[in-house]
Parts: sequence; structure tokens; C-alpha cells
Amino acid sequence: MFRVTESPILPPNPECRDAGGFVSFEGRVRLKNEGQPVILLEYDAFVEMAESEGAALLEEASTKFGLVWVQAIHRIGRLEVGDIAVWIGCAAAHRKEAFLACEFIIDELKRRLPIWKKEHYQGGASEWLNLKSEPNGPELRPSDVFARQIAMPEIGPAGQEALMQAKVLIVGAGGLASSALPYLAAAGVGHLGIVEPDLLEPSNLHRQVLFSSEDIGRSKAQLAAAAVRRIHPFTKVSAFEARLNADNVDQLIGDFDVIVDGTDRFDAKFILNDACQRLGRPLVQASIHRLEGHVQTILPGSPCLRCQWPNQPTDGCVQTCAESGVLGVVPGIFGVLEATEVLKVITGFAEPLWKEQLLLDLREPSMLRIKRTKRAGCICEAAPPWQRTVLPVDWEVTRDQVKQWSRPFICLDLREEWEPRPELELGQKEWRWSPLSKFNRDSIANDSCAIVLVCAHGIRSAALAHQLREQGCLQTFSLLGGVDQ
Amino acid sequence: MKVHVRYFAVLRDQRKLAQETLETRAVNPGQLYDELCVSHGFTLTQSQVRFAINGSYAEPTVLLNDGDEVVFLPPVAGG
Ligand SMILES: [Zn+2]
Repeated sequence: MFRVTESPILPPNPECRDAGGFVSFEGRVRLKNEGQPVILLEYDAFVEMAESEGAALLEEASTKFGLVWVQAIHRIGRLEVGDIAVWIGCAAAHRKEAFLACEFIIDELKRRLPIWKKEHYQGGASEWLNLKSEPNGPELRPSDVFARQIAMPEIGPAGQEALMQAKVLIVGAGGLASSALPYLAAAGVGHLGIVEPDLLEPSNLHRQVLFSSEDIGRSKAQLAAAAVRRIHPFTKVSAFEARLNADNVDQLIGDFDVIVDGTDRFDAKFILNDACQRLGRPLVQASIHRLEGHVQTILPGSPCLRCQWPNQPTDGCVQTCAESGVLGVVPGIFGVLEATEVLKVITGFAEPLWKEQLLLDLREPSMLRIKRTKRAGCICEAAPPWQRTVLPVDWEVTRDQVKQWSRPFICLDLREEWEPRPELELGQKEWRWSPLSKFNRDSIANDSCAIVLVCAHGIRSAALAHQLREQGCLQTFSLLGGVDQ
Repeated sequence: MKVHVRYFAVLRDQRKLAQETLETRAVNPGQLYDELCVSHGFTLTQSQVRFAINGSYAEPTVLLNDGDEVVFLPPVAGG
């Protein structure tokens, strides 16, 4: 369905008898970019990643718009003015879906795919541009986007690294998720999952501020994912258009580090509680009623929902939001409190509410904290022990620390071919280039001295250092903040 | 015996009050709830409500002392 090619693109001809509309798009190399005459263009890509992301995108578009046929091709290598750089074809029963899908695919391709282009201008100048950076402005760097957060000693580079590696699943894309999701994404959580089976309804709009009236009738999981993707490019988002139940819960939460309850049903809350205890996942939980609500974090082995409610309340025992009404700001506030708990769980900057429940009544407003207690014989007694998945680490070293080392060391530069690669003078005996995409552990097997891994922002280097240390290479370090800091 | 009572969610709606100080003969929060059920027409039964005494979750049969703060916690599921 999606491929990356170095050869000129020959637009395919779709064979589909059940399509009433076929729309194709060709993106071509044009003569000028922002006033500068272009003579030649070069495209480069992480081919494997581009192909898998591209396939996922076409799959998503196919479902979203009900396409009967879809294909896209992206060319890489050297292209001349007039050449086709990207081709997209969509066929649907009716023309409207085909037009919409085609536009959606090209917008998202540019935003999501790891493809760069280098423009060669008349006069010999050239420049690499990430496709996602245009037309909206300069390329984003994590060190810029998260600067104010990294500046906090409570977060710092290690906390940011932990956030960027964290995978958080939110179940329910309603009022709680509407505020929790954008804050989690903005903070740089690496992967967000959204589970929600419903379509957007008019009655959602007064509190679910992630959505807009023009999207009525569309999948809330997909809409929420799209809204979150617009924030910045550093968060991967997965939408699951499914209703959580006892059969799919293990599979849904299995890939995630922290689970957030954004549901409005007791049965879902207890299914999550039980699965999180069984699989050892922290669960951040909130529930609201009209003008008040509560929030708490349930760690594996901490007092759980069944400790609080030995008799599981049945849905219908109290009125739902639909029946008793709710003020829009209330889920907003509790969603933000849930996001705060998630950040605490991931980075450890403060103790989450794992032994207490926080009750907040927004009328007075008044706040009450209630200590939770464990119930003997409860399921949470058998929970596997939980450890923060990403701990702040001491093998991340600053430039100043490295400069003061008396031992010899090598700097291993993990940046890729397409990245600018300025070098640093840290007192190393050698600066060796070894792009991460081609990294081979054997290449450092004969080095007896310490190795400081470096990359642009210190994120890839930290991940590799962590991996190598787990494999026993205890002389491996990562340069905090990377070269660009 | 005097106790201070706080109501949340649907109980607060039905009592039309956030908190009050009461004179009671109830010896535990379960009994106290049953007493108030009659006077205020709460729709949830005792077994559907949870209790906290002086800031900690407590069983309905724990003995009350003069001056205790009792919180009634009905189920809440909205999101
Ligand atoms: Zn428990």
C-alpha cells in the first residue's frame, strides 16, 4: 500500500469496480521555495520506519474514510524540478470521501514520516528541511520545546528522558481525557494510547474541549489522536476504537507503563483496577459528579478499588453525568489532576496519591484527603511489585563532568548521516562517528576505555547507554542534553 | 455524642448540605447512616456507601467517638 522508492514514480492505475470516485495527488518539485530558486532536490528517509508509519497511516485513512482502494509512493534520492516526489491515490464509493482522504493523507504524511528534503539553490547553497517543518515554521527540537520543563530541578534532563520513554494509555476519550491528554502530550510523553468506541455527539462538546462541532459523528478515539498529534511531533499516538472489556483489557494495557482511567462506568473502572493489579501497572483514577470529584493513584500492591469497594457498585446505582448533569470545568480539572499524577508516577518528582484519595468540591471549594486502607484477602495482595520503569540515572554525564575526567575516553557520535554533526572538545582521545541506525556492538568490543555516547539531544544516547549497560558494558555513558544543548 | 458529618456527591445533593454537626446515639457510622437515611431520604442503602472517620477509610462497624468527623462516600463514576 505504501512504499518508498528511489526510481521515478509511475502513477498506478487502480482497478476497483465499486469506487464511484477516484482522487489522486502528485507532489512535485517546484522551481521556487520561499522565493529562492531551486535547481535540485534530495530526499532522504528512515526507509523502514517511513514504510511502517506510512502503511499505518493508509490503514487509518482507509478506515476513517471507508476507502475501497488506497496507495501512496514517496520518492527519495535526487529529484529535479517537475519530478513527482509523492503520489497518493484514493478510491471511495463517493467522491467526497476520496477528496477528504487524499488531503488527509498528504497532510499527515508530511507530519508523521521521517523524511527529509535538501534543497539545492542556485548559487550552490543547500539546506536540509524536515517535511513536517513546512509550511508551519522551523523544525522543532525537544530541547527547545521542553526547555522550561527541563529547567525545573524536579524534572531535569533525566525526568524529560523518562517522559519521552513513557507509554501512557488513557481509557475513555471524554471529559477527563480532554484535559489529561493534551497536557500529557505537551509534557513530552513518548507514546499515548487512547481507547474509546464512541462517536462524537453534540452533548459532549460543553466539556470535551478536545473536540469541535464540525467533527460530530466521527470517531472520538481518532479525533483525540489527531488533536494530540497537532501539539508537537515528539509523541506517538495510537487510537483504539474499542470498548474496554474483561477480554481485551490485558492486550490493551499490556504495552503501556501507566494507565489512566477516563471512563464513566463502574464496570470499566473495576476491570481496569483488576487488570492493573494483575499485570503490575499503576492506575491513575478519577471520577466526577456534577460539581465535585475525586482522584487517586493505585499502584500495584497499594490499596486498590476493591479495598475501597468490597461490593462493586453497579452501574445505575447512582445517576450518570447524562442523568444528573455536569459542569464542563469539573472533568477538566480532574483530568489535569490525573495528568499530574501520571507525571509524578513517571518522573518521581513527588509522591503520587497512592495511599490517599483526594476529594475536591468545587463549590466552596473544599478539599479532603482520605487515607485508603488495605483489605485483607483483596486481589491487590497478589500484585507483582512495581518499580518505576525509568529511574533517574547516574550514568548520564554533563560536559563539565566529562571534562574533569582523568581517565581516557572515546566519544561515540550516534547522529545519522542526514543530521548536522558538529563535534565537541571534551578532552576525548577520539571522536568516532557511528550512526545509531548502523550501530553494531562489536564496533566497541575492543575498546577498553570509557565510552561516552553522544547524539543531538541526549535521548538516543541515553537509550543506547541503558541498553549497553544492561548487556554488561558498564563503561558506557551518555552525554546529558546532547551536542545541541 | 456529637459528630461532624460531611456529605459528598449524591448524598450532598440529597441532603442539600456539605456538612453539619449532629447529636447522635449511633455507635458506629453504619448506624449513623441508617438514622440519617430515614430523616433525609437517602436513596442508597448502607451497603452501597463507604465511610471515613477522621480522614481514613473505616468499616461501618467501627465505634464512633465524641467529636469524630465522619465522611459518607457514595459511589461516583462520572468522567
Ligand atoms: Zn485491594
